[in-house]
Amino acid sequence: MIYKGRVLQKIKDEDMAYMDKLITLYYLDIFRYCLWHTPNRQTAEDAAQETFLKMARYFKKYVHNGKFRAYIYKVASNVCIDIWRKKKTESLTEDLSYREQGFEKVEADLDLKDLVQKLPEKHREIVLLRFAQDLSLREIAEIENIPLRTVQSRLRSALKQIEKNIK
Amino acid sequence: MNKKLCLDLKKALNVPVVYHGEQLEKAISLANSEYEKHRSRERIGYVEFLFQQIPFMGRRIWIFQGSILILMWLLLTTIFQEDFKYIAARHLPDLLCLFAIFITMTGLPFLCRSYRYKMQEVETASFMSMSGLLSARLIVIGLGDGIFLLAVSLVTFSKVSISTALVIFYLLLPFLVSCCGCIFILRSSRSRYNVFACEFFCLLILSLQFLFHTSVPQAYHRAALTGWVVLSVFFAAVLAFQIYKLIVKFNRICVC
Repeated sequence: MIYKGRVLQKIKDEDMAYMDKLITLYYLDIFRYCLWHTPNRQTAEDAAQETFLKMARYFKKYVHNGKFRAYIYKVASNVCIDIWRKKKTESLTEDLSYREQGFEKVEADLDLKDLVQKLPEKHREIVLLRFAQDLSLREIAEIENIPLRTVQSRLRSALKQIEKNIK
Repeated sequence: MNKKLCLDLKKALNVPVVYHGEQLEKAISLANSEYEKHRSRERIGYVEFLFQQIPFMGRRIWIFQGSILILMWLLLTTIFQEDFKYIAARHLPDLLCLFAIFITMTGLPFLCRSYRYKMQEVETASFMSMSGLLSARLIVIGLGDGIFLLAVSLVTFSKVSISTALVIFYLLLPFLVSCCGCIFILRSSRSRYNVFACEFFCLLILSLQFLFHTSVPQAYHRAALTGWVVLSVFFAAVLAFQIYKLIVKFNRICVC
């Protein structure tokens, strides 16, 4: 956390070498997030790239208060929403398999992934941010712009639904 | 929460992802150039912009006003010498009116030019709104005017024994009236001859003042001070309204 804060400060001080470090630090997480939220690998790569472009464009306006991870995920989330909006007009099917999304398919995990995919959108997003992206509940609340209590209740409800479906 | 389920979900969803190095390189290079592009277009605040206007145009106006102030000071010291003191004291309202009108006239060419040409290049470069630009110019000109009027008042106090309030209102009222008229002319049309119309209006006010002082000298006595105060307050309010309308109209013109 301290290292990330220092990296952000160095970029503010015009040390451009740290911009590379910042992007390298978050690229994998953001790319994985984009894979979950876009129809295919190519689009996910574009979405990840667009996320970092937007981050760089508005970096001067960003005020660091220890929430950069939530901030960059929020940018990625908006980029993915924009992509879906565009794709909807091209009438692409949203229900694509994980293999098409660019993930390695593991048979044992497939059922769980299917169950997550069948969750209502709001619940699915919380589950993905919590378990696929390993974000804290507080960070999820920041990204989704909802109270922490709502995140907790949605997560609990999603887990209950998954348990029920397993049984 | 079911801990086993949580662990299973994490194992199933937090899968390792392989990404292409060249994609990361591309994202880095594009982000760097995007950052560079937007860094040079950083916005500045209004106060910072106002300070930047001082070397840009404030300096020229203030040098102009300062040189007129020096000339006026030389004139004052000459006419307040013993030989002219009696005449000067009798014609003090005319003299102060002359200074007030002159100070209005000094700022007019700068203001008219800004208003006429809309200062669009500056707006594009600085990202300031048109109203911001015009108000910055009005502040710079107004600051110079204020210092000028204060200096004239101080010189008058030091040379002639006259009521402070009278000196202030002898200066303030013609200044306010001339400003109101000039801004009204500016608002009414965008003609290239606006500056001449404004200067002519100022000279007209000056002539009217001489005429009024000659025909109604009792209006310049201490007993008429209330009238001066009322008129000054009225014209100050009119001026504030005129400036507001000028800025609003300026924005509207630029939107079109």
